[in-house]
Amino acid sequence: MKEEDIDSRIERVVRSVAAKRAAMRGWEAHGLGPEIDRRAVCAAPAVAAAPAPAAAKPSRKWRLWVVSAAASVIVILGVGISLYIGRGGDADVMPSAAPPAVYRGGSADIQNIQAMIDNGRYDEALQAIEVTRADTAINPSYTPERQEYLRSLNANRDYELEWLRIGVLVKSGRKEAAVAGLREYVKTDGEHRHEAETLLNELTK
Amino acid sequence: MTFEYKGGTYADWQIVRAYQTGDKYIQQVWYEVCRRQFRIGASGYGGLSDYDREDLFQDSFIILWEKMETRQLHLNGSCVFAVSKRGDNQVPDLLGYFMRIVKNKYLEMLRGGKYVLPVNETVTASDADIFDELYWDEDPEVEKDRIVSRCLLSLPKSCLEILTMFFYEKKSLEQILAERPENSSYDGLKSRKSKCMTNLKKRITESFAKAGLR
Repeated sequence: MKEEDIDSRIERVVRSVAAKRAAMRGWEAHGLGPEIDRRAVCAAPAVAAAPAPAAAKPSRKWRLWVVSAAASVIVILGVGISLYIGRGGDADVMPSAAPPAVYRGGSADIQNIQAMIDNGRYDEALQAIEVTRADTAINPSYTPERQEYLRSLNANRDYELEWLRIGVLVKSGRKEAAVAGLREYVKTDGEHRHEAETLLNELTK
Repeated sequence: MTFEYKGGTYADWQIVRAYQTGDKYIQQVWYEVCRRQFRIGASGYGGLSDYDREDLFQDSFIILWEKMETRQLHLNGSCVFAVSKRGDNQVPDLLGYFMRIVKNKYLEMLRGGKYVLPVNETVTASDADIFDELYWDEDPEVEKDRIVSRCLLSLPKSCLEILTMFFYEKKSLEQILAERPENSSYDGLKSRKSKCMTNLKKRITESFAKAGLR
């Protein structure tokens, strides 16, 4: 076997193992929380091999109350998640009244991202926005109605995150990227459309 | 086998699917399930420090993860199967399968001679059979990767750390030197990395030969 083959294989395996370890460190740092119930049930036939849920398409028709409700849920979840992250050790138990997390897999909530922006940590905020936007996993064992509802929340969150992203681009002087983002953003009828159109006009004067 | 977590019910096939498709939420749920089971199931494994016990869990979990990624554990409908020399075997309990990996990794650590074998632990021929069964793949490329991964995980931790910083974090030797005060000089670090690679390649070559691979 050629030396190069071993070297490239070693490098690839090192990266694979290291990436897994990094993911595991993240899970240790941001644990999911309380005791897990493990219960053996009867055989698998009752559990169908369902396909992965289809990617959410954001609705083009926004109603103010839907966006407001989504924003309220996001704030509640942000408080819940920040309390959850602040916990320490296995003895801590998440309050049973806390709503289930929509954001999973190491993504930051909008409040944390806003804090990064307020502190001028623009690059960090942009990274957090991208990670959070990619974090759309929905538990496939939920009912279809709940999955659809969570997809809708994800879409609403995506709309808000894109607005945050554009704001960061503007604040950090990345005008061209901000303009490109705004040109797409204003095509969607939503809460920030008017502001986005105004901002686009100002940036392209 | 299924389990419940926060109002959701998860089946083994969903876990395998999650690791094949990158569903981070379910991946983390499974990680915590395995973590808890490891604490219970490996509590009697003697001869290990806390640090080694943590390594045992992490290395075993990575092995399971790679098996799912490389389709050594695969799905047929809603059933999980493991590739083996004698044909595919159904895995009725993925968590039990994980704990077998833990057991065999533990035995490997003991066989390595680094640890004092506790009086209540013995390595039997049947353990060795299970060990080989869990660590085999028909596809020579997958088998080679598995051997490289196994050799990598058996390196001294300092070697694994240096190679991770170099290949994964893409740091230069100067940057690694700045972050590792235990390396006293650039030449010393360069020599250490070279020895780690030589050691690793030697283990890999020997393992390939033993497995009949070139």
